[in-house]
Amino acid sequence: MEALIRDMGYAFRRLLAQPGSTLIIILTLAFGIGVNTSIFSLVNGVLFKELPFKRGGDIVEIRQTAIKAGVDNTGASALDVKDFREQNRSLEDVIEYHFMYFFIAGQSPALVKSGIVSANYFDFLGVKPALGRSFVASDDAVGAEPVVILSHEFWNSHFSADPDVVGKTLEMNGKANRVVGVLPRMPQFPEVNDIYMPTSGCPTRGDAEFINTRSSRMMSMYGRTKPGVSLQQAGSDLDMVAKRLHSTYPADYPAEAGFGVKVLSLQNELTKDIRPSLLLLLAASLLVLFITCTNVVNLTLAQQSRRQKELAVRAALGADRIDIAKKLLVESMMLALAGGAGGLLLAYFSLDLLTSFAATFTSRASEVSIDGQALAFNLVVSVATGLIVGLAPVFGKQDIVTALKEGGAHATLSRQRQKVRKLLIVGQIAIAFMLVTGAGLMIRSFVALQRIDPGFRSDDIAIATIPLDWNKYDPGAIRNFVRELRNGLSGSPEVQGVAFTTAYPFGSGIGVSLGTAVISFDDRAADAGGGKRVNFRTVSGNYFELLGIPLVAGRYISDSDDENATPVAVLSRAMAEKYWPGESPLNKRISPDQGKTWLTVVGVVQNIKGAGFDKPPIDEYYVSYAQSPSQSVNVLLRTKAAPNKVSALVKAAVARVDANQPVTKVTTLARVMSDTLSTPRMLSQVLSLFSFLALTISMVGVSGLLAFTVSQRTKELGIRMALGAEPHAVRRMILGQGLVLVAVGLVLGMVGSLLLGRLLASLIYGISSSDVFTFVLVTFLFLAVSLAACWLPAARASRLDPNAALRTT
Amino acid sequence: MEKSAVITIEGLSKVFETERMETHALSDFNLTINRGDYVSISGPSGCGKSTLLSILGLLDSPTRGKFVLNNMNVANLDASQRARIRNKEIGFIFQDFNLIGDLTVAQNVELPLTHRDMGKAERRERVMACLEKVGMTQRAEHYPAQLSGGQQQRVAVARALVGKPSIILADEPTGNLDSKNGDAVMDLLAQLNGEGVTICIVTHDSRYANYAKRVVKLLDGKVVTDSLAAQVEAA
Ligand SMILES: Nc1ncnc2c1ncn2[C@@H]1O[C@H](COP(=O)(O)OP(=O)(O)O)[C@@H](O)[C@H]1O
Ligand SMILES: [Mg+2]
Repeated sequence: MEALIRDMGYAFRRLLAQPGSTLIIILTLAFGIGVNTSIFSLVNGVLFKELPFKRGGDIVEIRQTAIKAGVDNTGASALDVKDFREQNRSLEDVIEYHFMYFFIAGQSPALVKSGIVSANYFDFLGVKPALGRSFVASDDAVGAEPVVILSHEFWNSHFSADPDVVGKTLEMNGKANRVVGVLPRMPQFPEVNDIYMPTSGCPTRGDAEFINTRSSRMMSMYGRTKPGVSLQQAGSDLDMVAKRLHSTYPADYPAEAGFGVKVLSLQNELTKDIRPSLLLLLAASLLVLFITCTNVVNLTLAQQSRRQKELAVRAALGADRIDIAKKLLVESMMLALAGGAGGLLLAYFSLDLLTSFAATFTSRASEVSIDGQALAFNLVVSVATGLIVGLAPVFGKQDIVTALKEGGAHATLSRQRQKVRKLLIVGQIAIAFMLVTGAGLMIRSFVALQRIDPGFRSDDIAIATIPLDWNKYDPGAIRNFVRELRNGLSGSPEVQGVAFTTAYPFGSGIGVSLGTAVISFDDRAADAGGGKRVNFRTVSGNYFELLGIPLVAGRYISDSDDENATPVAVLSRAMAEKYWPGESPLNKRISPDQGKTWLTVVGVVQNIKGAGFDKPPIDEYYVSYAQSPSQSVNVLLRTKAAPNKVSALVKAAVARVDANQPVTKVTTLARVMSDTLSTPRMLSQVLSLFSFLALTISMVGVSGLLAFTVSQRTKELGIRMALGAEPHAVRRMILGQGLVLVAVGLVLGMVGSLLLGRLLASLIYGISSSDVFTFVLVTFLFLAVSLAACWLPAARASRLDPNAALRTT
Repeated sequence: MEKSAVITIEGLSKVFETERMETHALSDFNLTINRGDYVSISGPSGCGKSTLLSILGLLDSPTRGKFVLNNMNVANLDASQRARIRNKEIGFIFQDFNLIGDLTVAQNVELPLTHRDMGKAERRERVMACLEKVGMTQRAEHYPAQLSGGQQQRVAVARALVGKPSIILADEPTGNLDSKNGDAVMDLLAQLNGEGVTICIVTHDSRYANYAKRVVKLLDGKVVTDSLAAQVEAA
């Protein structure tokens, strides 16, 4: 113990004696460890940590599918929920969830997102309200008193954390709701809501007819497997229940739709899309850690070569190998722990960035934190780094003592050290190559994604989302609202064009609703390809013109397609070709409601990318806003005005029509589209940063090693020059040594890149993970940069004065 | 018989400019070395012997003066040109042997030939011939660290010979050797001179100076005596 303290004191003095290199080492380690700590917190919070609910790992999503109708998730009806809950034998309990928006009247119009859940919801999750009570079974009854539970955040923002809030009322859509509880601060599931209501609180879900209609499906179902029950067992159990339901109620589960049920691990479902990206980040950050470690080992080895004398003296004074190794280890541990502390700081400061990034793809973002696990990870990585850095130089130096004893064998010792350093440099270059090709592939894929023609114009298009209060707006009122708003906006000199839609391309979220309908055709029987579910958008006149979506046949929808005219539909080309191959669909009729209304096809327009750049175009059709008004109002404006100006303009225009009507979002179409690329953009940026640093570190490494070699071999170079080596030959020799290391590193890096390519394959678009162009480009980049990095020491060597060089010892 | 000059130096000076002082290592120096000569240069420490040898070996250039090597004016050449002439015309033997530890004996001897346009087989042949001459054939594949000082210096002699230079320059070749090994190296040099090799050696040991045919004594960068060995003995 005393010896340890003495060693620490010694190490401390030594590190302080060379503040420059000590600082560089600590900063390098802080960077490597910091990057790993923050990426670990992200990956752990999103992927690995068990969902923070009662036996969260065992929560499953129960998903009904209709494979033959092409529907992945039909949702569940109230009767589905009831039957699956009562008839299964593998689950502890089943809960249901959906959400809707309500309006709070008041000074400032506001929208509230409410989760609508079964009464057992919070008990199921194991969440106890911070104030008041949970829902009880009687809250679910039709006609029960409307009650709400507030999220902790909403309680803070809307009720200023009023401790006496329980029993007060919250008025929404002209209806008073009694607050019965407040949730604790918690990660919400499956999404973030302001408030929660029992099923009776939803005007749709609480309606007796809806409750008794087995085919009215819109809710999500979740359950928890009983202890010891596997996912597969739960799956076959629920399959049996489903089969029973299908044969008992064949009309509600039509055989041609191919109904089925899937039991999925919720943890998996919540994260499966982002998993490859996060694993890639984790792998990349481990590579960065490796590079920073090797870099520090390299610096240490160089220092030791310079400390040769001191070590020799210590050995002569009787210090044995263990003793020397212990001193080095204590020193590197202190460096690594200091680096780890720095890394923690870095991770702490990058946390906001990480959580806001995580929020773009998962509701688990709030679970990303520097918690005990992240701290433990940080400590483990720091200690491991210290061990590697401390032991690598000693490793394989079994002859350190013999070397010193033999005397004059210093050359052997430092040659051995050189060999280790060369190996490390080769490793660094290989890893840097892997990171740079990874970044190159991501960038190329990102560029390819951005270059994809979405099929419409997105420049100078602003979007405002205006979800109308369903309590106030019947179809007639919606028509009036839309007409008046159009007039108000068209009058503005800033606005060159106006159109309305329920769902703009790439849009999602509050007030944006892409409809789906099971359509029937009047030119064929229902079983001959009928009963397919197809997406539709409701659009006003000028929509296609504004977005520049080309007409293929017939005509666009216009504002004269109103309630007094024949209902019309315009088909996407994909839909037209699918249902009327080789035939004109014009004047054919389709019905979205089993024949209650018939829409006449008046036009076909070009396909657009609706959901994402890399998604194939979907079959869809368009209907006229004036013929099927919807409360989901989205205004598209062609304008060159800045977004904040547009926002003011739209809000003023809306307020003139209805002073209580909120505008929830104002953005631009370009922005919305670019947001769908946030994951590939982030991956490109992070990998670029990593690879830039890796490239720099490895090149500084090669350059430093060569410079060191030159200084160690000055005498030898002097001899060679005396014997007739010309300056250019000396330069070539040193360059050659550097480039051989680079070449070996590149070959290893290529092999590594090809192996790791599989991790990337699912994340890149339009190019292969072994894209020749990228590999060739990166190889040339490395050759060019390493030529530059090696040139300096090589040129210095070639300018040596042979006479002086010969005199060095 | 008119002897042909390998080296002619006239009015040569070498001034070292250091931070606060100028050292005149050689001043207004004149020297001629003829083909077949065996010149020994001696004098007290600091008199300019090593400086002279560096200039003769084109490792350094004179500040002023005329330096003709094999009828070429070599006083003012760039680094590459000097390297090429060193390779062709000069054979060096150093006090501390200066063999390269990473290379075998044969590879060390081969070094000067690697800078010439010469086939591998011919190089090998010349290397083995020179090792034969110095009696080190058995050690061709050994590393310098495995040899004694005397053996290392014999390898160095072979390396100096291998390029068939116009002159061999040796700076204190016996300085790091005991007298037995020192004698052996000096015998070897005498034998080579007997075979026609021109040699110029620096030594402060008068015993070894007498191996030479001609002794040049320096003092403060100037020649004080330049005499045939027989005359020195007679005097
Ligand atoms: N590179 C140099 N820079 C400055 N002074 C030098 C240098 N080389 C030699 N000298 C000086 O030139 C003089 C002659 O040195 P040197 O030729 O080495 O003498 P010797 O070999 O006869 O002992 C000495 O005074 C020495 O200090
Ligand atoms: Mg000297």
